[in-house]
Amino acid sequence: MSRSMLFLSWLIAAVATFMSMYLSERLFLEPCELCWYQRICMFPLVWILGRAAWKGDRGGVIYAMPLAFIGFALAIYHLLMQEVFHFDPIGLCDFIHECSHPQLVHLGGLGIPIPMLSALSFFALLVSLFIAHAAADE
Amino acid sequence: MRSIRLLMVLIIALAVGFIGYFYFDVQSQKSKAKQIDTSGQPTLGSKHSPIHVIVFEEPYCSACRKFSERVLPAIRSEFVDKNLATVTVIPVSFLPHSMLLAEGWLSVYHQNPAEPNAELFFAFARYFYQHQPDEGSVLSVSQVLQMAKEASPKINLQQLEHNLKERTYHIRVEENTTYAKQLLGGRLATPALFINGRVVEDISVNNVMTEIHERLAEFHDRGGDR
Repeated sequence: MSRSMLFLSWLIAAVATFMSMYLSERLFLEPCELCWYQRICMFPLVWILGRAAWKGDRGGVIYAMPLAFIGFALAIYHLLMQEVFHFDPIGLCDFIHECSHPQLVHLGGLGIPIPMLSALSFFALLVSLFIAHAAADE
Repeated sequence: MRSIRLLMVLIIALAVGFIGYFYFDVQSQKSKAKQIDTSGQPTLGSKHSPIHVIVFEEPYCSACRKFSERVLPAIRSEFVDKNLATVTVIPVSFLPHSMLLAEGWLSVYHQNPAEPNAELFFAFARYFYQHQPDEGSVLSVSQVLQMAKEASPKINLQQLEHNLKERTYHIRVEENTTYAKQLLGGRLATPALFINGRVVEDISVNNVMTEIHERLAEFHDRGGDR
């Protein structure tokens, strides 16, 4: 159970990384500062969880959890920044690379803001990591 | 265990395959003629002319200055004024601190939103290029306003100041820049010149004039079908 959950976590991280690279390298959307912080949390997970899933090493969950949590918090902050006018209490993003300018990804006619995708991937990751961890305890 | 490893290998192979496909796709797209959307961008000349020249310009790039001083006037007198070509300039910004200028140019163009004024845009851009500061230098809003004032008495300075402070055209310039990158497969170097949708890399006066003459000849050979 925990092994397949590790694999699923790796898959989520890999798909999110691939999507993120696709948006910047293929559609040429410039990642803003906050996007970069989220990428910093997501990209290493491909290796950490990849190794954990390959070896069946449940300890990987402990390394991945903090990154996934920080990434999720950043994504929520980013989403609030776009949805709530002038929301940036800590001043995380400068004006030039407007993090607050919403860029949408179009999936089947539905426009989804990029930080929403990021928040969803981090959330899915947290859930699958949690299940992997709980299963390991048994 | 073994099946998970097998799946992982398969997924990685799939990802590598996709990356390779994207790479070759970008390479093959480069040489094709493209439909370029110029709506809402400063355009000179008759809509019905057979040649459409499109230039992506960055305010701080020195090659753009040379292009605007040497090549654009030649295109205008030789082709635009004779209704043989239209010229569209699309402002982009990727060099440090040039964003404010690109926004200013678009703001001047849209001074009267009901009737955008390309002549005013070109007057401001030309004046700016004549006084182009070194790459990377920071201009304040009041310095930009001073330049606009000297460029043309027709520029509404209060409106320009408002638009610069509110960053009204910021998103538009960013969209232009992303669009230029998409058209050029990621490698945006300015001035990026397109003649009837095809990239022209050699932007010397002689070459550009020859290219336009050739396209005109092709146009006449086809019996006036664009």
